[in-house]
Amino acid sequence: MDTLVQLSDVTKRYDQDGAPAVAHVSLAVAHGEALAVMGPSGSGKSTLLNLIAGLDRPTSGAVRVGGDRVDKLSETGLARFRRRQVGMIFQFFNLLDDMTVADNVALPAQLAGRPVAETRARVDELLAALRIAPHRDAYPARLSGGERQRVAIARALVNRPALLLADEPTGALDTATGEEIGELLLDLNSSGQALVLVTHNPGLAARYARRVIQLVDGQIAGDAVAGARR
Amino acid sequence: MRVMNRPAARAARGGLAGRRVQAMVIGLVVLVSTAASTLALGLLVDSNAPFDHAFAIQHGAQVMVTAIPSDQLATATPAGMTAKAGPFGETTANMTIQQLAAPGQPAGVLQTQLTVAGRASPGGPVDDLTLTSGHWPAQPGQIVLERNRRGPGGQLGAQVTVTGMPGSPTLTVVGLASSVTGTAEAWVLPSELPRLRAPGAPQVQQMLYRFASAGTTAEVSADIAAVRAALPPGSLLSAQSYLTVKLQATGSIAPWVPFIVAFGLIGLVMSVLIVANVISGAVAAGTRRIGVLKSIGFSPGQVVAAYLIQVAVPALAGCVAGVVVGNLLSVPLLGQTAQVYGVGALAVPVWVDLAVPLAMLALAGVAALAPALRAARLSAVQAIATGRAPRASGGYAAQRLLGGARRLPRPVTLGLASPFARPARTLVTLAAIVFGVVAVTFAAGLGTSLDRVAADLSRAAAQPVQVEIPGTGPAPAPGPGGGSVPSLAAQESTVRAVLRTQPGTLHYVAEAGDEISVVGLADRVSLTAFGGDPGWTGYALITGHWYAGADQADVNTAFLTAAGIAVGDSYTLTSGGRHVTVRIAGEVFDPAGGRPEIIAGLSALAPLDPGLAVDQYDVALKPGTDAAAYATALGRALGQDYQVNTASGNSPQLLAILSLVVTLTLLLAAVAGLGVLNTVVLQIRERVHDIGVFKAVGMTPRQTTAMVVCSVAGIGLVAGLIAIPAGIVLHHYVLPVMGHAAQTAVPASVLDVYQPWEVVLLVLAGLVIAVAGALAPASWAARTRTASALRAE
Repeated sequence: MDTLVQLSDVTKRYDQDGAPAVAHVSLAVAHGEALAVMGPSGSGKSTLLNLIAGLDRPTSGAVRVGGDRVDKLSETGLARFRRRQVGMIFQFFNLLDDMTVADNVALPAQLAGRPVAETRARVDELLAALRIAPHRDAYPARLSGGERQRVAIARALVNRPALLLADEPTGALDTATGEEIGELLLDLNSSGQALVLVTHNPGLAARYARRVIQLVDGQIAGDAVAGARR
Repeated sequence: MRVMNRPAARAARGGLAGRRVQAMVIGLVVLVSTAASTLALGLLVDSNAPFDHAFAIQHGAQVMVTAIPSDQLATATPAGMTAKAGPFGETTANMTIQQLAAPGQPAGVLQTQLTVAGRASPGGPVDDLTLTSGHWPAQPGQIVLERNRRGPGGQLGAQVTVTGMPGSPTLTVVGLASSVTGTAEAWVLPSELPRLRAPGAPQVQQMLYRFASAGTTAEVSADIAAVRAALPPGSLLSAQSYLTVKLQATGSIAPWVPFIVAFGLIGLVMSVLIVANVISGAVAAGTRRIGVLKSIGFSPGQVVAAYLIQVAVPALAGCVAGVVVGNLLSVPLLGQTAQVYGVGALAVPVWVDLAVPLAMLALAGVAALAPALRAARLSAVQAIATGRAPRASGGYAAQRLLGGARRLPRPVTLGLASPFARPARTLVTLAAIVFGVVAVTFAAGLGTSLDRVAADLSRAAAQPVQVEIPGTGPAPAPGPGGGSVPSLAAQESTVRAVLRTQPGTLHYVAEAGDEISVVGLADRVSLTAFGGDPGWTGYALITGHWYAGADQADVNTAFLTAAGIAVGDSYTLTSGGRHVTVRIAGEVFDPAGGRPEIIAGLSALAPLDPGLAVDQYDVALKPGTDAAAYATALGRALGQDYQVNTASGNSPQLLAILSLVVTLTLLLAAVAGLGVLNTVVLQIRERVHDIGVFKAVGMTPRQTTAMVVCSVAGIGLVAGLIAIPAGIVLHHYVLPVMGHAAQTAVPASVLDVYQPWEVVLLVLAGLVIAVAGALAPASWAARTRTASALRAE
């Protein structure tokens, strides 16, 4: 399989004198692969995800995603990279409260300057696929946690990114809703969507990822193929 | 107290350290507001009483008498007198002042008559002269000129020749001085004075007095009576009250007061708005922190104290720096203002330096107290919740509406919708920009109006060259080599012949001027008579038309007011038993220092004033003719007996006033810009997490900047639209008030100064202020690291 994400000896320090959040990590993720990143709090999971998404820059090492050398891009280049290559899902959804569901989903496409008709069609398609079309004109505050995460997933997918990054996507949800969102991610991966999932829940990782890496103190302590996947 | 204040002070210190940008904004806005208010109030106070200020500094003479010399003049102590100076010898001398050649300019000559006093030094208990440049005469042959009389010859080193005196004594100008009550127009050493006194002229001396009571005309009259009683009978020749001089000085000040008041009021209102907005916003943004403090045991009183200290520290620093800046800015401005007013040095009064910062601090305290008390009353959980999610309740509809705007880029619509989220803050920001643009609009109109007033009064464009006729009066200029002076008719004939043949001449007309007393009018009347068509001479007409024929005349506003007549009425002028009846054809724009003025044909006014004689020719030039070159060539053709002058519309007074207008406008625009900066900083702090989300889903730095700038650009544009009519109304209100103070109506050409293209540009002034204020925080937002922004609460 072709490599989509390639991290080469990546280190990230927030404090010059402190311990690195991520230390000498080398990692490859293939197109269509589902990778779970696990580890205890403070192990560097979210930092690793931020480095792949270009939300943060490594102190040393190289980050390549879909042919882009992410760590070398300018801020404008990073913004364009995120529009094109990456969709992000957050634990607390990060929806914009003063925008309707449809406006939230459409935002990345609008920022990318996509034609209005194309954007509208894509938004309608995603809202229908994720079963939130009835809430199209509602504001996020009126939705349940599961519905909000579906809106966030729709927003992450609107520009058809090669890579979906999910940071504790079920962390703020009850068990049943978390299962529902997990199934949704699994379906997406089954249809070829590459996925990097950060979680501290071994069960979730085992069920919804093909491969699991363990991070401890910023270093990869384990890299294994998950067995319980459906 | 110690128990409460120590934790409060520590908490305040922590708050300041964590909110450096807000502290800086508070400090900067308070600084600019205090500086603008100090300057405005200082100017206001100084413009109200510059004469009193200079009079106090110079210990001005409340009564100045001239008297025949006697022993009692020096020794007499009139009742109620507190100080005196003199006796100083005094004489009137005809002088020729040689103007020094400036680079590129020929040397010139000024013939004038000056009142000269003999004084050993400029100081003294009364009329302590301000030596503005040079030094006091140290030896015979040196002279100091009154600064305001310097004219073309008032330069240090200029040579002064006293004419009509045996040997024509020559003096060198070694200094320039100012006397607030104008006790003399020039000073020499006492030993010099006899050389300057014309043969046969009586010896007179001046005495200068101050009295315990001299606040009213009646008191000054009583003081003069006391002086008269103390001197030998018949020795007092004349007495002048300082109140008369003050009235004239106030007449020159009064026209400028209304616009300074307008700027001052705009500045004060803007300061109130912005300080309240900054500090209310800072307190609101710090609500969560207040909640945290309460949760760890702070009492409501300690929370309020902590927050007041946190606000007071940058506010105090801003106040102190603002007073310093206000005073520094006032130095050149008050210097220029003092020049305009013709009085000594001015400074911001000490009470203004104390009152303005105290008022600003009080204002900051009041603005901070209300929201701090509100936050202190909240439960800790509520305060934390309010602070963590300071979500606006409004703006959803605007966001939705603008989100559907297909033609505008999404960052633009996101920005344009954001003001609706915080309507109260938006309104205060709008008001601050409105006042800023009102100031800009008013200043732009005022500048153009003052320029047109200067052009109208100088008439430099219409008649750029004047030729002075030497004349045949009682004190004629001597002919070259002391030869005989030709008759007036011969002089006029010479001038006309040269003007006819001089290349570049377009029109010329003879002009005569005189002042006469007219029955029924308290003031002397200025007569201006033309020997031909005066229609092109550049006088602006307020109403009516130019006179046509010998039975018509034009007058200024002061004439109409003094005579109680209107344009179209007939009026009979009676002077010395002679009568002339004219119909008033028009009202001309010529304040003439508040003196009534009548303009008519020479044939109409000559029967009223036998002494009325042509004293100059006004000359208009063909397009493209260089006035200076023309004047030089004309002067060569006419010879030394004829002085050729070029008129200039650029007066130092106008430049001083315009620089004052520009400085005040820039300060007010800067204050409005800081108001915008504060709003945008608060907005970004509140929405930093949202900005992180925007960037995470692909918003570029340029799009972020555009979004933030657009969040106030709409406000700026709306503010511009509101402010333009308000600024024009203010201009149309203040200009006539200024004119009224100068005892003149204002012609439409001075009022109708706003061109359509200017209005369009002025509307954009609101946009410029908004964008300028938003650029720095927008750039900060654009540079914010996405991961950090997403972690922000």
